[in-house]
Amino acid sequence: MLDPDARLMLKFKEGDVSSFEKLVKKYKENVVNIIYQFIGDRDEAEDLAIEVFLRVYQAGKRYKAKAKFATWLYKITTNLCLNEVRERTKLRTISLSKCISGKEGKEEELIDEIADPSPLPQQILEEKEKNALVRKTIDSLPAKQRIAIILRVYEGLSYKEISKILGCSIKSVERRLYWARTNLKKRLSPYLIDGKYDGGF
Amino acid sequence: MKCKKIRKKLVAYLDGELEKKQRLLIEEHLLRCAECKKEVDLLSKTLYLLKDQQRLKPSEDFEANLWEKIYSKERQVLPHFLRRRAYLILPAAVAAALIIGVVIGNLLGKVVSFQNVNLEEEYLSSIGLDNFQDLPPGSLPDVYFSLANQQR
Repeated sequence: MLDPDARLMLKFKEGDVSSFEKLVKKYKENVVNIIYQFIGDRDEAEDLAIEVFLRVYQAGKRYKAKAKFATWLYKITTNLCLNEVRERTKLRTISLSKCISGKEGKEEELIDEIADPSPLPQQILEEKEKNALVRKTIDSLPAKQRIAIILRVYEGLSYKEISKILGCSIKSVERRLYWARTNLKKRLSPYLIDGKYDGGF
Repeated sequence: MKCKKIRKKLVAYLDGELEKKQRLLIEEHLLRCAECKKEVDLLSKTLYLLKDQQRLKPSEDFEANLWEKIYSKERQVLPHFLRRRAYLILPAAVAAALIIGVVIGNLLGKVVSFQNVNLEEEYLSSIGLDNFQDLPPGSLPDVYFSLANQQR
């Protein structure tokens, strides 16, 4: 049976622009957040999300409902994210991942670096620090691990859906997620042993 | 299963991606292995730490910005029949520019040479040099030379 969003896209293909508007309204937040979690910059995330929907609009006339609409949309989104990373890697001389993926002790330097000197209450400061560290830790993952964990954790997609989006096997998704979570666990360990997240499992 | 194998499956176990048989094996192992239990707890906490991250709301003018971009792209797009032959556009433009250049150059050359002839005539009459080319009819030298010729 045809996915309802794919049906909307087919209506758009026939000239119904309101169907395209409905799809934008439904998916804009997800697309912005996937990109934001991937590149870590709000304004750029929004610009790139607009680029994603522009591509959807332009592809309207050629659209064929082969897969779920969301899978197709996230495939466009992840390709754009991966291209953006490639472009940035060409431009950037000092990689953030080199700062963070080094030996022990580097994380302490990073915590010092991101500590906000403004007079905020201690709790807010810690929260801000923690969020910044989580953000930078996600950024430090290799692009393929990063996109896999974003699709899994923030979009709640199954391994099968992720494999379709990334164009790889389910085993490969499993491996990427294993290494991503293992790397994150190592780097975030100071925040995992304070007891706050005990109720997780 | 040994701990090493179990640990490689813990993430998929937490994500609910294992078959029933494997899931039961892991659950059984976790009941008797404190180290693997500790590992699965840490992985689970990592997940909650990640989920705790801020989720963005798109700005209010997201749609307006999108349509602005769509319209600006549409203005740039070539008509369909040209898009299919886009590879011919540059050579055709160069050839057309050359032909137009040659035609205009030719026409300009003709106009300039025509103007030059007119200018030359105007200049000679303005300084009165044409007066020396022939004897003006009815002038004194004209009468003198016609009488002299008659006497010969």
